[in-house]
Amino acid sequence: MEPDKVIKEKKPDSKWSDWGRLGKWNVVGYKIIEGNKGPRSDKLQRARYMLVNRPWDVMYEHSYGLVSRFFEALMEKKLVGTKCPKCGDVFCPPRAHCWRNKCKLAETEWIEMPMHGILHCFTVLGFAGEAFLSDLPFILAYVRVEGANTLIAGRLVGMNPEDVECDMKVNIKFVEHPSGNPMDIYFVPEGPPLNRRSAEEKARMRTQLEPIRAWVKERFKK
Amino acid sequence: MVAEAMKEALEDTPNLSIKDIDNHVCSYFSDHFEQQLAFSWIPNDYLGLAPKPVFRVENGGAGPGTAIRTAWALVASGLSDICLVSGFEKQGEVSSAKANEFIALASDTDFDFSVGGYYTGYYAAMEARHMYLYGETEEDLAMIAVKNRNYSLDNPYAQWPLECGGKRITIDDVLSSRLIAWPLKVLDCCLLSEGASVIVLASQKYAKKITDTPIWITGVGLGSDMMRPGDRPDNPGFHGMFPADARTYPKHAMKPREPYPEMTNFGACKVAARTAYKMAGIKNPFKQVDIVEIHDAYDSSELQSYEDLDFCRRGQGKTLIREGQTYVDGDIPVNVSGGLEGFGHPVGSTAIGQTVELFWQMRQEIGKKHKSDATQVKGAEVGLNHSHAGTGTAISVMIMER
Repeated sequence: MEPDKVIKEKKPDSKWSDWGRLGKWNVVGYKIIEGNKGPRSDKLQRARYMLVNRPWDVMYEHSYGLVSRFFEALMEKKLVGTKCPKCGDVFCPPRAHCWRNKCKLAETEWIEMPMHGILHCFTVLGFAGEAFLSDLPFILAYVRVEGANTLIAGRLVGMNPEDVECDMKVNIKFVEHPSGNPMDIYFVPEGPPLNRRSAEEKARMRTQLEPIRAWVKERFKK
Repeated sequence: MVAEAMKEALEDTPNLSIKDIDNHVCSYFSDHFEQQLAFSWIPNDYLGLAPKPVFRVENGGAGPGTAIRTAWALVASGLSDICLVSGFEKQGEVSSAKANEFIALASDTDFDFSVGGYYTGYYAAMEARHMYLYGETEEDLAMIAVKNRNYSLDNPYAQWPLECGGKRITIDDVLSSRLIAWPLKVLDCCLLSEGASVIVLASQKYAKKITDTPIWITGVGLGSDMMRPGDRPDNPGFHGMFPADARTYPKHAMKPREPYPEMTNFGACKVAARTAYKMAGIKNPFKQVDIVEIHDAYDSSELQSYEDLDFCRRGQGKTLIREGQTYVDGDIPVNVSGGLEGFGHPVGSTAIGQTVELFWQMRQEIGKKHKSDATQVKGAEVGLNHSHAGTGTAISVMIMER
């Protein structure tokens, strides 16, 4: 049997090489606390307890498996999906096997997808997972790429959050340097705002976003 | 925490002895929060249950509801006579942003989490489309947050009273609280919690020996949906199952191939509810169910669940809250414990803790347990517990009767 061979590789920056070793479950700090403890708020008692700080982290080598083609294509600035040869359903994000019971897990075929679609729904994020806090605020959208039977998640840029609406047309763009991550694509509105939201609603959303922008500026010195 | 809950159960039930428990089903959600694999073994040996069988049931946020259903099946099948169900979670060991990231690992990490998605964001996008289809407002959602949080002030087991200092909130407080993911603000969202709870299920023969007033489980249901909400609008899995809900799709919106549940409702909930209703012989849940505990991870999901639990037609969730039907004195009181927004959301424990509240409600013991009977639903005979995971990816419904 032939051994596995590496066809293409980008090694992680050396700064990540100590990632697993540095956080190794040692106690690196502690606190001894006297606080209010108990199962009911009306029967709390002063109790003394100890907290320890233990860092722990991991570098994953994750396989995209049968849908690897999608991520390879992103690096070539192409958007691809899959199509079931039996029922014709189109998947973007891709599925390697059809979802219909009657197609009996038929293997799908790769097709190129158009670079436009419809924004099905969206949210304006004012908080996020730790890895994405410095990007706030941003617009997360689910988009139906034309011809697809699934929606793909991504970010919408080029429009004020208060002007974004469901069912609007969007174009899909690539970042300058794709890295094989769904963040390699993003959405931009195809036309001007649909303006179905009232001026009052728009003003409210603007007010809600002000403290978020100030918080990010302060926290990340942006 | 589990020991504290068990101790109280033993004090409340003098005829119950740990040595009579023959099986233990344990629920906790994330291995990341606790950083301890196979954690169910620890409460099992700590309570003195070894060498009895123990295993973990994990099904995201529906883990505790699924654990109860599993224990029910053990007892119903005759494999167990007296089965303990325990649940716990400790979410306080990491920052709030990291906790949200851990929870987001239950979503698709290749396609949804990787673009900056996490649960409040997914639910917000789903609610934004529900609003676009059916026209409820941020004020309607805030009414639910105010209802649940203020009810929790009468519940000494609840977390919110400690965080807010016992102060009642208003709709304006919710609307002006920090934006998390439009249209959801921080007061529209549940709490990050630490907590534990236990319940004991017994066969008909043993239940009567343990207590004079058992509460019977008369229906259980569990359903599932696509993991990625983006896979739902055209998903053939629900094709033709709920035609009445599909017909309510408004004309102003672009209609997907499968109009129900698409991204706006929870089809898994409808499947679970219809299964449980059929088993319990419930034909009109709005009339026949007296008290409900819903998994209000967000007030929006409580509103959407009103529709999926068949309390009203799809799109009418807003009417139910506007008319006050789900308040303690309404036709179908929901989350008078405080729900996930007020009572708290220690994930693996949540639906078990809510079942305990329903148990006390149906035995008319709220005054005794809460030291206030302000949220006691008088004469509650039929209760409904709902447990919900992912973006509605797994949902359980249980009917309890006195």
